[in-house]
Amino acid sequence: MGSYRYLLVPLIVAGLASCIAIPIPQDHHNGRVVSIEPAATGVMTKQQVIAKGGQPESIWENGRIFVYKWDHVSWGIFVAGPAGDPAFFEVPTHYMLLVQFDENDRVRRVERIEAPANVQSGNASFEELVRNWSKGQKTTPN
Amino acid sequence: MPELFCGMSQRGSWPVVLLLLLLAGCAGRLQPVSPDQLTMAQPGGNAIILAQFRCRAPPSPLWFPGLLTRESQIPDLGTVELVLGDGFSGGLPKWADSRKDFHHLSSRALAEGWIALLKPPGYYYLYVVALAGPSVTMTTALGGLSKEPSFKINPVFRIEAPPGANVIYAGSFRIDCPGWGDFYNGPTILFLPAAIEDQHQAAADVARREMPSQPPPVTRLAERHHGPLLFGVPAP
Repeated sequence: MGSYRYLLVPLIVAGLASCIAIPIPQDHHNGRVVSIEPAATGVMTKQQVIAKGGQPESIWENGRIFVYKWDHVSWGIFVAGPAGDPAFFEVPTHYMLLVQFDENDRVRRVERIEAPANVQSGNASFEELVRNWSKGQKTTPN
Repeated sequence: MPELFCGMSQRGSWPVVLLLLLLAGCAGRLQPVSPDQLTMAQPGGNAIILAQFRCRAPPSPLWFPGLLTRESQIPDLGTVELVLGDGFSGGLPKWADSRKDFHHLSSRALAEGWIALLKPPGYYYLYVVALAGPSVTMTTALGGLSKEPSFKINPVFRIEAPPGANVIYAGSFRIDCPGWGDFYNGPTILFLPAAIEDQHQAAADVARREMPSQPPPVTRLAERHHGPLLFGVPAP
């Protein structure tokens, strides 16, 4: 459901520019999908997480939190119009895997979330999202 | 060669045309560093991060009908735009804040390519981009994006502001500024290569001249970024 809203703006823009825009269903990922099961909590070490998921996209709080990111593309839009070559572009949904480690570098908590739209658009703080998550609070910054 | 911007999936799915219009239409001037801001720079608070930006070769003038561009924060850089990413943006470039993040000292310092950031301790990611195109239309922009959907935007340098420093010299950046041919019938946003030099004596001279009340700058050269983005407070 979440990816439907991403279709709206390009379709409107295309319409305003007198283009033809055709949504086409897709189902693939951009980036490496990393999966750490909740059962890893208290068991899996930081090195084991890296061995399984590779280097994270970002590291927070002096190494205590890893963030992996990838996109799932569920729609593509074919655009054609009078002003240029036809084009096809993807409409992704952004996912993150957050992994928190304890003082012994073992997984304390792990969760996969969809990146909030306000964070993805730059209107809310990614840092606040990570900080809130590390404290067990909601992951949708104001 | 500059890298073509194709990173739509990294910044949500908004058409890049909106970005172009935002950047091209809202060119603002840099704010000077006020005496109060200089006085407030102290360990534990905001630090003054000093850096110098120059083109390796003089940039060619970019002018022709329909060109959508804007001038750099530093006049001698032509169309090169300096953009920061930080913890707020998760390291991604904060396009709309590119004029707020950078400050100028004096006109003389700006003419020499010196520019200042006022930031709390932390990690900052520098993107060096140029924005222009001979005919920016929605379809050309979207067509450019669609060619490499998995392209990832990477910052060029990581700037570290450790705690306990009033003034930090982050380096003298030498940028491969774009020429006419880089934009001809092609991309609209270029990520530019740059090298860094240590001109700490020149930085010390500028700091003494521009900020006489501050201690000499601590040299902490920006690192060429690779690997995971780091966030938090760097070690002193």
